[in-house]
Amino acid sequence: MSTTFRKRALAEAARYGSDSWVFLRELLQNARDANAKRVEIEVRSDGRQESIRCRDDGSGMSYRHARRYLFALYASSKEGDTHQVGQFGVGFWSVLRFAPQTVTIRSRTRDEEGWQVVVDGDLGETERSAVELPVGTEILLERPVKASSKKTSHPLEEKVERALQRYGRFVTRKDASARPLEVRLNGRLINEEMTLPAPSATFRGRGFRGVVGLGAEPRVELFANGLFVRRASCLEDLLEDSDRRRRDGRESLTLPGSLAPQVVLDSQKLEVMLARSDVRETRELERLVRAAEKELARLVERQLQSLRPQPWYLPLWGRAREAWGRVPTTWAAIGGLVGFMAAAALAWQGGEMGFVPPLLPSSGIEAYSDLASRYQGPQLDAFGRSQPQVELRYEPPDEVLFWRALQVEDPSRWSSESQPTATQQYVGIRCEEDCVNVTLTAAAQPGLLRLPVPTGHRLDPQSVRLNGEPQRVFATAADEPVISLGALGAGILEYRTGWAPAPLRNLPPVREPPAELREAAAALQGMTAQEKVRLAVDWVQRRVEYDRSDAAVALSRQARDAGNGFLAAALASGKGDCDVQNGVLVALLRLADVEARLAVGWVGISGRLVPGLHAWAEYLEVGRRWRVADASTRFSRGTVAGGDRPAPRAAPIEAAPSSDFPLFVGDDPPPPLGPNQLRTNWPIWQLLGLGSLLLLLILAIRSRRGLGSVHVATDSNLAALLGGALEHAELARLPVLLHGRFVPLLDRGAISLHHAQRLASKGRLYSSTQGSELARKASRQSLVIIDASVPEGQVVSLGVGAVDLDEWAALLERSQPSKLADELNGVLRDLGERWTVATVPALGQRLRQIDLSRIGLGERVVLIDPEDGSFAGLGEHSRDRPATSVLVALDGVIPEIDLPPHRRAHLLAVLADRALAESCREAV
Amino acid sequence: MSTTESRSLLRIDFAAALAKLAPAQLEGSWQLPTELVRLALASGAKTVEVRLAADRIELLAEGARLAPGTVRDLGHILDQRQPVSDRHQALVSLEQHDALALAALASYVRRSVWLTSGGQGGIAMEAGPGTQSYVNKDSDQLELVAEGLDLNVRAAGEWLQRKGRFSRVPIIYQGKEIYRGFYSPLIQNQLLQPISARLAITSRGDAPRLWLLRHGIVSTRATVPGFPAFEAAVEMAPLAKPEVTGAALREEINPYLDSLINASVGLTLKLSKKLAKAPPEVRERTARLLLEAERRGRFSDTVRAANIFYLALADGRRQLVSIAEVLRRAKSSTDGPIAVEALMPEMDPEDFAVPDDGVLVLSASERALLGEVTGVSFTLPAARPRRRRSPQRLAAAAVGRLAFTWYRLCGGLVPQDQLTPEERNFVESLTADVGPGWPRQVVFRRGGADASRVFATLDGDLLLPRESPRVQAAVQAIARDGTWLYPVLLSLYGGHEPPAADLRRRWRERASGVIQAP
Repeated sequence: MSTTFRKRALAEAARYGSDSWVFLRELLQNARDANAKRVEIEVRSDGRQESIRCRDDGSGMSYRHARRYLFALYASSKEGDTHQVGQFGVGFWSVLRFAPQTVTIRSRTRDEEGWQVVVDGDLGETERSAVELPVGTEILLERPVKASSKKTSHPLEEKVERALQRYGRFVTRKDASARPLEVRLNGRLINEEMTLPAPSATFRGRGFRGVVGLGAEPRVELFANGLFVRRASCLEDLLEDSDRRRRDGRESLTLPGSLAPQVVLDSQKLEVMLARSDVRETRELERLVRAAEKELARLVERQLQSLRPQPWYLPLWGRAREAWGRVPTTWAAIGGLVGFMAAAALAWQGGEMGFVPPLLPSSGIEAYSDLASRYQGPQLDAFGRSQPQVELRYEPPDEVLFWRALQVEDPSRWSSESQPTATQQYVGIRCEEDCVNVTLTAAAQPGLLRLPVPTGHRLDPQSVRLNGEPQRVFATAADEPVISLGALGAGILEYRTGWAPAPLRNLPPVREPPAELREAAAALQGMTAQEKVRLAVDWVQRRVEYDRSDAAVALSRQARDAGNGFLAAALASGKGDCDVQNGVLVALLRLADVEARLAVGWVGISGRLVPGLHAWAEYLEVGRRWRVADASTRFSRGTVAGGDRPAPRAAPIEAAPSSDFPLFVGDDPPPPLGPNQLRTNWPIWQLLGLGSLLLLLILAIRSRRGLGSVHVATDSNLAALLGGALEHAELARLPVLLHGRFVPLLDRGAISLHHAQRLASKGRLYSSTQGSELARKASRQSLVIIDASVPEGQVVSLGVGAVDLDEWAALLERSQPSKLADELNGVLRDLGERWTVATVPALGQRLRQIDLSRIGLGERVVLIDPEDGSFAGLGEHSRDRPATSVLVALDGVIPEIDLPPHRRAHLLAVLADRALAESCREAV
Repeated sequence: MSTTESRSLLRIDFAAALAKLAPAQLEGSWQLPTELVRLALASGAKTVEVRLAADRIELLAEGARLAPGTVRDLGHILDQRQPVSDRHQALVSLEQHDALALAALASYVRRSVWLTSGGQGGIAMEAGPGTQSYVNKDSDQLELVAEGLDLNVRAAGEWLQRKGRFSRVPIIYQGKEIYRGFYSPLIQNQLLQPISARLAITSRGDAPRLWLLRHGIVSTRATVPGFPAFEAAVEMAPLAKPEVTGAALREEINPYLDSLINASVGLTLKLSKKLAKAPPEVRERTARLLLEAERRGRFSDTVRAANIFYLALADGRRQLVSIAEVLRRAKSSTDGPIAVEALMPEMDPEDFAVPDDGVLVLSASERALLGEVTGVSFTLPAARPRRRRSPQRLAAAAVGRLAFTWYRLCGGLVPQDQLTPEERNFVESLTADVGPGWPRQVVFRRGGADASRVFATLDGDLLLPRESPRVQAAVQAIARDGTWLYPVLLSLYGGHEPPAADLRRRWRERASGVIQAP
């Protein structure tokens, strides 16, 4: 078996690659998995024998455990433990790659005695004995010194050190992953901080850490739990599926020469494969790669920022431009459309919110009409499918008011009517102080219209205006104020209300109250009105549950169909909405000798009505003031707008313990939060604000989460980065590189690469290396002149093709007087041209054009090379045919210079005429 | 102290080995179908067809033959009745024979495996819970059906398509042949020496990317930064041991990198010969790769001679020029190398004064690279308003058209038969050719209110006052020397319509010679 074991163990160890020192990684890994805090490795050599002793202070292992797992190939106690590195049960025996003469394994746990097993290198014999040692494990590998190793002074120690530095310099503790597992070789610390030379940045995330830097050669190293896994030349190589990322345009950043990306990554969540030299392509790995790419980009930005500080908004602006640049036209069009629609919606909302006062109700809001024709009495489906929302505004807006639009004196005896009937003159009040001014948009069938009045208020009849015209106010049998809309049927109503005691009235008795209700009422006898109301609300809430589900509606209908009256049906079904609950409450209060009635209308907050109808009970308190009692909700926790609101000054509500029931009647669900609510219900804004702040905080934390220390280099090569940006279009993914002002100007300012490219494409970018007189003069003319004496200026001016003013200056200086130039300039002057010709020997090109007028320093100068075939000899040999000679010379110049078409045509025609005339004269 | 033989202490946990040895080498169970395809390809398959379901793999490989021993090893592993040590031995044997796929299959399969392998001593095996049978069977295909798996079909399919895309033989997955080859190749070829590889120059990527295959299936990949980008699918099976890992393959390829890079530059040079008809983005990619090659000093002379840059000519045509041509244009003046005139690709040459020998069109990235490898700098040529007809010219043309009509109606035109021989020669010379820069029709008129005025229409019709000294001078000039057509047309058209380029060239040659003649 031992031969088979050895053979198999070596075969497995061979998977780890060609480096025979890989067993040191396995020893470190075992120490880590045993919760060690410190590993000491001693390397000894006496010239004949050499040894490696690895001792850790981990939990150790009992002999039984070792026998079961350590001495059994493929058996592992770490299977399924994701925090363990080794799981395959083969790693330890890679020590055989050291070719040891003996392998000594010593260990002791906290609870058991220490033991030692010595195995010979062939795994033929083992010796077991008890030993004294501290808790932990010690592995001793011994072998005779090879003859080849004797040539160097400390061959073994150097090799071990190199291997430890490669495999375990970042190894972390299992019980505290942020702390290093201390590894010492002959007393020297092997551990290193995970850093790279500047410019570099360390970062940390959940379960991973890393460092990115810029260096001479691209390099990526991947570690799992601080133990080396593999090396790659770029991040993409870590992902087998990176080809898809590439096709999706998510390539890793490519940086120029001396700024190649260098990355070291370590994660606790990687799944290492059997050969240890690869990890599975899990989401964790992808996350790691993404984090590193992001940090690299961030490092470049920071490095640039440190080299030349930029305004804070530049990167943001650059990112916005970049994002915009990436948006395809279609998406831009869709975005525009959505934006337009959003703007339209906001404008509409704005109108609703009072920014734009509407004359008539806008769509979605009804004008007010009398509820009588629509309300069908207290029952679950009282309002069918409709949910009227009306345009009523009141002042002062700081009061919460319950606007009663319909009054039900006997909920058990409701009869629908198409419109109210006026029976008498309305007895109102004359309101002079603490009044509520109302503006109401009304549109109804011609006839009478009830006016909504807050609970406890009465109307000031003198104040009622319809489209500015005073109106007479009548009263219904239930003492509700009504007016006649006349044939108009619509208009803006204005009126005033104020607090007033209720006139004496006899309310009808409750008909056929169920016994249960009578008993409840009897229980309230002898209490104050306020107590009665509080307990009655309590009772109703317990007895009639707020429920508007279809099942509840069916149940309620069933109860009514069984011949029960309203009260009996409500109690029988035990379900109802706000008017059912408050209808029962009204009956209970009346039975308990508290004058009460049911009111249907709207709740007003901050001068506007909350969408959705509501029903509530009104009861008379001492002093004959109508107050609100609501069995559907507890007002102080009202759910009208979903948050706390101040208790109404005018109509204090009896607080009743209840849950947050919606206030709305009818079958439709309440409309979504309307503009009124948004505007008026400040807690919503508070919540939104807080939510936004929280979101920003989370984003800030997330963006900072990975960030550790950043070391920027003061001598980093900005020129190389700019050159790289010109060379690799994909570097434009770093907006700061493109939009940051890194290109130095002669006047000590700076422009962005993007700006430089734009100017160059128009021929309006200049450069100067030596700061020639011409360049200095041009600089005073506010031209953009790159300082090409600085490397980044030189890179950009060459890359984008800036006009070299030094070269111009040198050319102008070299220009020489010549007969040809004199002749040509004479003709040009005669013809009124504002440009001149100068000759420059060895110009290198046939002609060059220098437009000094562009830089405000004179006129256009065309430099021609007198030696060029087009001009050679023209000056000297043109005595006999001067006109022809001038035509030949200027015909070679004019088409290639920047002249307006008509001037070019005129010049050529005149010169041709002269040449023809000369030719004629010659013939004669 | 007790001395014992190791056999009582050291043992192999065969059960554990069987359970984890193969899966520990795979990304997941979804890799299994791909590994089976690799096995089929290694066994000589001419086509491989794979059908997958969540619990089933079907593989049919035409022409593939497994050694009967391999089939029996698989059967051994699957046979739970066999001692675990024997089963483990079978697993080791499978691994040594590069049949990890079968070892993995044995780890993942829960129900049954049915396998037929062709060739001499062909064998069919059926293995299920508690049953196993072998039959000799003659067949020329490998057929495998495994049931009772727990497969992520989507992941398995994607993996197969990604890893199998360099297979030499067709792979049919779920009835459809998978895409084989490089993505967006611009040119590709086969390299046989010193290593078998397929090379491609693709339209994306910044660095050489090597797909290391074993038996036609991608095992791993490696990027080699710092060299011109290319992609290579390299068959590593002849170089590597059967159980070799991805890391080992990445090491194995190192000695061949130089050859691959050189071959890729050669391929790019080949591509450069086809650029005349290639889209601009292909030219730009090729130019960039060759500039990078030049930067690394690969095939410098050939690279410098390759025509890879656009040159916009004055007549609107484009041609390709080489790095050498760029250097020629940057020939030194006494002040050192001069900036070469070049346009950006997005610029319209019409907006610039393009010299007769054209102007280079170079992108920012080309300028940066060219600047780096040649030290040349670039500058814009002079801007020039477009050659639009001026309003004056349009107005004159309209007057010219009216004049033609007027003189024709009034009988003011000189009939052809009344022209002198010089005049007839003049008309014939001016209308000797058709096309841009040549008059369409030349007619003489008698004197009149505007006796010296030449009328020209936009169509190229010329109405000439016969008695005008200018016209007479022109007639005489042509009578003496036909090359004077150029100045004559410049004069008659008022410089507005550029005469044909050929006329200009001929006249300039003649006139220069005449002027410079002693």
